[in-house]
Amino acid sequence: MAIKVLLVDDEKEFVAHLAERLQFRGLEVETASDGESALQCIKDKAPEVMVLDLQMPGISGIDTLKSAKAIAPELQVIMLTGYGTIETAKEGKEFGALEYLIKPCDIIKLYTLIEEAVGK
Amino acid sequence: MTYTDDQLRRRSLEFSGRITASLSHEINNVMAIINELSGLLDDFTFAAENGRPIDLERQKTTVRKITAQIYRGREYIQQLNSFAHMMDSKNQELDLARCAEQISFVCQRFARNRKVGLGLGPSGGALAVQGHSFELLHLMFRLVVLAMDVSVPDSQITLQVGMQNEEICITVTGDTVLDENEAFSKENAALTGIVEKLGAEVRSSLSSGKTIHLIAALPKDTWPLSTV
Repeated sequence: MAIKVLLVDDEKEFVAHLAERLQFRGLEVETASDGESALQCIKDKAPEVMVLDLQMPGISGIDTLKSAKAIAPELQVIMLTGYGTIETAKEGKEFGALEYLIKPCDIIKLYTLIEEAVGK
Repeated sequence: MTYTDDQLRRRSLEFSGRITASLSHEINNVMAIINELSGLLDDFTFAAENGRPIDLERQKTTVRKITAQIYRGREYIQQLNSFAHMMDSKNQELDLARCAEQISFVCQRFARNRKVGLGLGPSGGALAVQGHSFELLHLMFRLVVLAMDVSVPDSQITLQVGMQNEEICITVTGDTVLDENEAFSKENAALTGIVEKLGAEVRSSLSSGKTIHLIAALPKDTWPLSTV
């Protein structure tokens, strides 16, 4: 069974290409461009891992993380961050995020982290 | 140095920090997209090496997308460089319409984060003023931020410069649910320093019950000799 991943980022082109690369590696990928649609996707599609950008319009990444964990406590969250939000990413680990990566990130590193997140 | 000078200095640093952080964030996003696109090309090559047919059209499209992102990144770098040079700008004749274009460009990310649109109003063409570009941009930024703070989501904010009743004015309009006094008191502290520094006069009004107009009239000493 393919690992189900949700990618959340407001940079639509970035998320589309990253999704394609993860699909190329055999993952099942859903995408969302803001916190609200990410939370809806968690309810509808029950992903195992969420890769979450921290700076988005509307609900912030950290608030999305908190709500996501309330909806699906077993969901594993990997945060993606620019340099300006590293402190927020560290804070995210206190709210249950597994790890954070700095954009641009290495696909092998992300893929490995996703596999580790679901214990594969 | 008076308290007001110190406060203005801190506000100016905060303004410059927010702009440079925003532009560098955008540049980083461009780098991230290029990283994924070049990675896709790598994936296509790997697939071809393992016997999958090469999709030349897909490869060409991906290369074109990389080129587009490089041009996008170049625009952000140009804006960042231009902004950096403004900080030590001298008092000189400037095009206020060009300043409005720059603020509109560098504030797009802030607008997206607030879920509002930001655009320029109809331009009357170049509008010469005398002053420091950094200070004029700071004033425009504070007006735009104030408009964003009081605007409803999914509404449009418009920045416009031009002559109104024989005054050179910077006008920002947006849709608000607040009344005029509530709206205008939101960010006065941040706005006041730069308004006083420039000797500008700021006023606000509501029209149609929901559209707030924030107007900064520049003093006559910012008018160049060619305008007076």
